[in-house]
Amino acid sequence: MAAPVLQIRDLRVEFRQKKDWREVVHGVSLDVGRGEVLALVGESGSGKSTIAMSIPGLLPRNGRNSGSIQLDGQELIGASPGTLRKIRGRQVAVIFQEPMRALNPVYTIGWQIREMLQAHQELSKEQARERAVELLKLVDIPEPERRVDSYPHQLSGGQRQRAMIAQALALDPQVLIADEPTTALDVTVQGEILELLHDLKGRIDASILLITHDMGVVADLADRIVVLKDGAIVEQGDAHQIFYDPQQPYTQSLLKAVLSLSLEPVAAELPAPEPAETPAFDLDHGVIEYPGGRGRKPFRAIDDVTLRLDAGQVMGLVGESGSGKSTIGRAAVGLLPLASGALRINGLDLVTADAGQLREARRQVAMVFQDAGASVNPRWPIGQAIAEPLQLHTDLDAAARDARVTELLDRVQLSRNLRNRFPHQLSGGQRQRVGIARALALQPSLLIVDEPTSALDVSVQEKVLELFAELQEEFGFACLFITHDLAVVEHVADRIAVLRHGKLVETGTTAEVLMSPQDSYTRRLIAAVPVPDPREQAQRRRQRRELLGEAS
Amino acid sequence: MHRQRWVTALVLAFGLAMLVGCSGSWAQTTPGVFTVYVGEPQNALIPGNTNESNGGEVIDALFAPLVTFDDETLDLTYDGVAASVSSDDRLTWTIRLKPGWTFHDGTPVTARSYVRAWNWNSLATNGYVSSFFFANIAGYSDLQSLTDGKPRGTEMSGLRVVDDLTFTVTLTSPFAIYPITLGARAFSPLPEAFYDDPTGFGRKPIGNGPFRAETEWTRGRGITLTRFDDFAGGAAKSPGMAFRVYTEQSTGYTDVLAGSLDIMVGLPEDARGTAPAIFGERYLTRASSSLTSLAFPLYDPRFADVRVRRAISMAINRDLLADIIFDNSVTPARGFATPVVDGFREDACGPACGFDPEAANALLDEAGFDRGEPIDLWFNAGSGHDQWMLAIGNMLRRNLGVDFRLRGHLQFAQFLPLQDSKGMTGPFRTAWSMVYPSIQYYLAPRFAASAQPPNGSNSAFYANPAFDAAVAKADAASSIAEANRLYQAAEDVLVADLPHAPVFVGVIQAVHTQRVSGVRLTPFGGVDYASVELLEVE
Amino acid sequence: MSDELPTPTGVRPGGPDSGAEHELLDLVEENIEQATLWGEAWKTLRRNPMFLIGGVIAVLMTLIAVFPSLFAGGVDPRDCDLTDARQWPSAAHWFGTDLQGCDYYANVIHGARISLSIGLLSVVGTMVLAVILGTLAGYFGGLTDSLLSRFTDIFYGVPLLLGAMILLTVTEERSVFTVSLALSIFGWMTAMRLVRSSVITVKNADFVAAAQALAATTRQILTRHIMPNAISPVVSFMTIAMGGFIASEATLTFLGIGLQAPEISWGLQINVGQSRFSSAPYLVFFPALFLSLTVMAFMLMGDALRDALDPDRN
Repeated sequence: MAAPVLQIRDLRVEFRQKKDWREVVHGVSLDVGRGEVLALVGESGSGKSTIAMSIPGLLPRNGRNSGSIQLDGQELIGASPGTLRKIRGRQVAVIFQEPMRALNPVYTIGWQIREMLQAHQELSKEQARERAVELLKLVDIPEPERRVDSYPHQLSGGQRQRAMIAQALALDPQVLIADEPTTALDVTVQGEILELLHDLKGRIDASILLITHDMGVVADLADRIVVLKDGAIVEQGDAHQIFYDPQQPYTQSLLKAVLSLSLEPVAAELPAPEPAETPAFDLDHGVIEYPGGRGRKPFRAIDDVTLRLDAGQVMGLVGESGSGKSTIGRAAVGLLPLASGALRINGLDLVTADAGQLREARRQVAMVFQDAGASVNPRWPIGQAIAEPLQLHTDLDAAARDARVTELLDRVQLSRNLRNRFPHQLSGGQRQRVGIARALALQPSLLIVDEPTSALDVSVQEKVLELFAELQEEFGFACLFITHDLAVVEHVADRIAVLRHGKLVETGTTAEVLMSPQDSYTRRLIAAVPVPDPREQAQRRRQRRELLGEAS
Repeated sequence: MHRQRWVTALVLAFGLAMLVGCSGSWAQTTPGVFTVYVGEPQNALIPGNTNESNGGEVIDALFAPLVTFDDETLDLTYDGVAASVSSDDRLTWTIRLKPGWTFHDGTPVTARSYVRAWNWNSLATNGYVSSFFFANIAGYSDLQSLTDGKPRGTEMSGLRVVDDLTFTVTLTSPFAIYPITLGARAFSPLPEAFYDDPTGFGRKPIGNGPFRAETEWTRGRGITLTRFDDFAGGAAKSPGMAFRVYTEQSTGYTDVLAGSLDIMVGLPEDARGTAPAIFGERYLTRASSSLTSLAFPLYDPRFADVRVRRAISMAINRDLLADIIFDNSVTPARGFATPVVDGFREDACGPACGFDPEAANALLDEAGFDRGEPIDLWFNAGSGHDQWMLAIGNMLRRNLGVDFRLRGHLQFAQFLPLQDSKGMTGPFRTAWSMVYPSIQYYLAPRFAASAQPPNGSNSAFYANPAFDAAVAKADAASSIAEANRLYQAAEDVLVADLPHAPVFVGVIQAVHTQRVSGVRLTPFGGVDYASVELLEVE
Repeated sequence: MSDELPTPTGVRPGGPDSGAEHELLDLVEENIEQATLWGEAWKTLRRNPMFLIGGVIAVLMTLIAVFPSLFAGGVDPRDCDLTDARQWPSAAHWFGTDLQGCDYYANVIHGARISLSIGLLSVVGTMVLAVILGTLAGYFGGLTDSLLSRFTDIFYGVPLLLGAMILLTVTEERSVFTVSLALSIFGWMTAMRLVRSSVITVKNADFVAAAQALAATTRQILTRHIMPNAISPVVSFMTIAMGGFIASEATLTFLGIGLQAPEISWGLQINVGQSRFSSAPYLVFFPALFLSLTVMAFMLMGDALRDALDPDRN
């Protein structure tokens, strides 16, 4: 067996907090073989990024490490800054989560790649430019000769990520560290990048150290997996072994908690639609425009969309960024006006209603925001934030409000002691529950939920969705569930509506849309989602390649 | 952003220029013209309506007086328009003019020029501040008393034109020093053109003096004059001169130091001690006829009691003031006249102008003065009075136990009208220089009942028949020597009543640049502009 | 859902907090005490030497301003004996005596009150103007914003001192109140801009949208949500500005446009003292020293405050 390109032995990383040093990585040892993809998985706080950043010496100033990291025989821990600088880029390259942050916005991507090349190699400007074009071809950027002179903001998200990968690969590094490379991307774009990475695996010599929380991505790319928890390795092994035969209880629970697209007929019964009742939410040929400013045409965020949601139903609004799904949610709570069409909440037309009726309508609709921490005034204790709707819309006195807040806290399974805490003192999951509690304060008949779990860890996500399901059953509110995550939608929604660029592409029951999608875009969308099952993912990959290859 | 910065710079530059203009600092000198410091006059430039130093300076350059005075002895000389002023009975005076005198517009200076002007000045409907000067002419009261807003007459019976160069003046009672009084600018002649447009004249006077008005008077800026070549008194040595208005003495002084202001009479407080060393020969000084006093608003019941006034006067340590604040550039005043005039007595005021805090306190207690209410001390801004008024206030506080407030925010031109309209709420600074060398000028024009504003400068609104009678008696004296003796008796009345508390007698100080030479100070606190030579620097 | 603007709590929407930062954040933030944003800022400030120095001096000056007689040892600054004039510092008179024979130490001590009062009043006046106009402009945008911003630009064209000078030349009364008013009227513009941009940032936050969705009235949103969150950048600016206003008052008085005798103000003392500088330099030195220390103190505090309240700090 060939010597591993990277050998980590007993790596310990400490951070200084005020005066004490705290160890966050406790003696981790692992190998990265040549040309293999090793995935470091774990939840937040597991230490996966810390370990990865130790390799090129990119720890923050208050961190220090000990142990041994050997890159092709060369010891990196304790190496001089000069040595490390030479290592970075040439032998170890990093791809970050947000390409806009890694790329300098004032220089063309060609310039940046060239600069990197010329810093480490003796190349003339023309040679460097040629190589840059080559690299762009390598990452499948269309029209590389033209694109090499583009600025980052002129590229799409996917192209930017490709450019960053190109830059990382410029000097033929031995190890490519990919830190959540697809998390910030749209589903279809993620699919493309995964396709690219998979392709590159075959074409380049580098080993890839993949850091991610997304088990689907792991299943798609990884050869071997290392599972981390609280700075220590829980389990490691090759991909099939971990996925199909996990030994450790933590690994097992982690895999179980992952929501994946199962694409199996849901056993639960769907409530039969009752068209006789007034629908909770009725959008009729709705058009929502953003004004274009001086001289520019207005931008159509929602273009002639008709949607209908009955009482007690959950509809998943699915789409990528820019699809308009959030816009519909905001229009439902009255934050955005319709340019044309009608929007009826429980039969009341928001466009023609008067002020008093509107106020009444606002009571019946509530919104849970994506970033619940930001949807609450950072200077207010959460108890006050939850009580705000009560204060604005009811006549309850302070004591009654307090009682209700306690009730709500109980309902969302938050400790009552937390009512005087501030948002930044709570965890992400707790903050999300606060958002839900606030939304339920007035017992709405329609709940708009906007990406409630995308900012959460896997295990927390599971719990929040469980809670949500319980509450929905208990209260029976209708719900517009806005998300880009198809796996989540499959589990909570009765119906699905797919949006693309402001238009409604497809709608139907969950089973219909997911099992037998009619529209090609829907099909692409479904195909692009990786499932945490290596064998299945291998099959889906073929399908994905076909479909993504269709569109351009 | 670029444009905004440009605009800001422009506004800033403009604002700075305005500011600089407001304070009156002039960046460059004008060739052929020497510049003189002046403050904003109270009224328009009409001789009959000007009785303060700012306007007076300008008038004195534009008009020539009837009679003149020897520079050293202050004896009466006839180097002005008048050839002679004579009388047999000191009641009716014959004034003969010299031929050949003209106004700036070429019209001749005739007897009628004077008679018509004097009548005009005396009309109550004109309300001129110098009308008091004509109060002793027979028929004055006709022009003063109004029925339904119209005076009884427009011509005084005592004035009669004999011929082009002769007119007679009949007084209401004999007045020995009458010829001396004719040196005052109130008696200036006016050309016929005046009566067509008095307002315009007030901006651009047509006088009979060595300089003529080239431009109009501009508020806040000043006026430029050129030599009147046909001046019968001998052409001025400089082709032109200009008065520049300043609101702050220190700004003017800075400009003289910088060479952009040529002549300045009166120095800022902090320069009085240092100027002689800096200017050397270009520093001029002479004994002043200026008496600075604290006038009391007698219309204010608080100061109606003479004991209160005496107490305040005796709480002021004049010697200390002259020493510490003025570096002994002034002398303490001990009477109502100044050393330069005939009739002056050393220590006429006696203990009332001395320093006796115990006696002062006793008097204040006796009078039942409310020490709880602070005393307002008024003075005009920008002329360096802050420190000595503050010192007086501190003395009142320390010695009498009564607090004070300084009211020194008004410019001279606003300060005077407020006095005239009985607006003073406490003792106020007042200074008086002679316009003719006689002790009489310190008495009647300041304290006569008929000199109360708007007709005169009795801004304390003092009215005492005993005083008026004493003055009348002195006026009627048969000789000047006897008149002076009787005027001193009138002064004694003032000492007893103390309508003002005399504080100090100033000294005239002036500085000039190297651009000019032949600068002479007149006994009246001004400069003999006609004899100033302009040296153009190569 | 837009992920362009950073939300106030620093969490980036669009994905789990990416590896490195979030882990580190978790570790560092373990010991959470009661803290609000202000509480945390206070903890940072407590350890900042610049803030401590500035704070100590500012507190000292404030105490002097509130209890001048205490610090002056009961000496009356207006008890002036002309026979004692212009004496150099000695045991009897620590700072010597001035032109009028007043104890200079007592005068300098009492001068603190005027200077600090004007500083404080100017700051209050400026804040009121800036917060009102800035909030209206930032929240309502559109025509309101255009008009108010142009209105601000007009005032920007007038330099602070020049405008204050002109205004004070026109008004007759030159009291603490009018000088503060003059300074406020020409000094509010930068604060307004700060408030405005701060409001624009906060306006886009989710919690404002949430409040709007709840049909809270505009007034409620402005007063309960927008203003409290938009204030922090202005606070540090105003602390620095306080130092600036105190210096401006001294300048105005020095130029003769501010307060007048017998008010006791450092600017006035410097004005009077400067004419005798060669013979009695201490007349300028002591008030100038106190003035500089006070101004510096507030600027140090303001600087430290700005760093402490800046959410982007490391």
